[in-house]
Amino acid sequence: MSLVSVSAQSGVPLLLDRFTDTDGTSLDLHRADVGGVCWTENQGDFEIASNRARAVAAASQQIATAECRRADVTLTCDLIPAASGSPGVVLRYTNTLNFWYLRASEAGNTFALVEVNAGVFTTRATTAVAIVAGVTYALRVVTSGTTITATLDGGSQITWPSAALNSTVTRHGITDADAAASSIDNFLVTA
Amino acid sequence: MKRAKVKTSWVGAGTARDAFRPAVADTYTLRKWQDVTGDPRPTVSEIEVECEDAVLTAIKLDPAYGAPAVKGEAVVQVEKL
Repeated sequence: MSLVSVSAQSGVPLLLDRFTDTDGTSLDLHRADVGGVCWTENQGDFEIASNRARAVAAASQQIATAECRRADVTLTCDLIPAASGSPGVVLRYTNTLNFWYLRASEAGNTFALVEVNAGVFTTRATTAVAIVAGVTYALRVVTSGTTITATLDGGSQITWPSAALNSTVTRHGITDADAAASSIDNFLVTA
Repeated sequence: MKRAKVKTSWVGAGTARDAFRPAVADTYTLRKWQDVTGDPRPTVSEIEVECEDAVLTAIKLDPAYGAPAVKGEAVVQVEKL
């Protein structure tokens, strides 16, 4: 028997989840394609619905995260907003009082980066985008040191160069506002 | 389309449903904005905005902001939404 050292290399999937599972499976019991049973429902409740992740509780913001072992990552996923929904991703999460998130808001037609620092929510950057309920939007986020860069469908870029909060924190995940029946799919985190 | 830096106060309660955001973004339709200061709890700060020419003109004419609140005005290429 030999020991093999495995480390996260550039481009290597740290977490991949296509959310393929039986409808109604709680996300914290679901097994990701890469990462195993890795999700923690930090606030609210996510379930599998039609092989996608969907928020089901009536909390003001629902959050599920997983340990990804790297703070500096490239994260991609598909967001399928419902009417009045605001699906998105959570970055560098320590607890419900300290993290970052990006959301695509159908009601506001905006793509926004929000900082949550000691429980205070501050929008740091916003781009106007025509968000249509039921349409799939490809989100791509790169975290690198204190810079967070994100695009929606390859455009509508947001760049925030002062992301000092939690710059070394390695939990990332998904979020939605309320149980608006928005969906998230094809969640991939690479180093 | 114009890009400029605008000095603005912030509104909101700092909650998930009512996050702090620049007051000027509540009043005017901005195509894009980004905080420049990065303060933990902003009260008054500078943001960089992209908006229609007429919107920037209106901000400069608004007594809440005025021409001195707008700096570094420049024409920008429009990115397809």
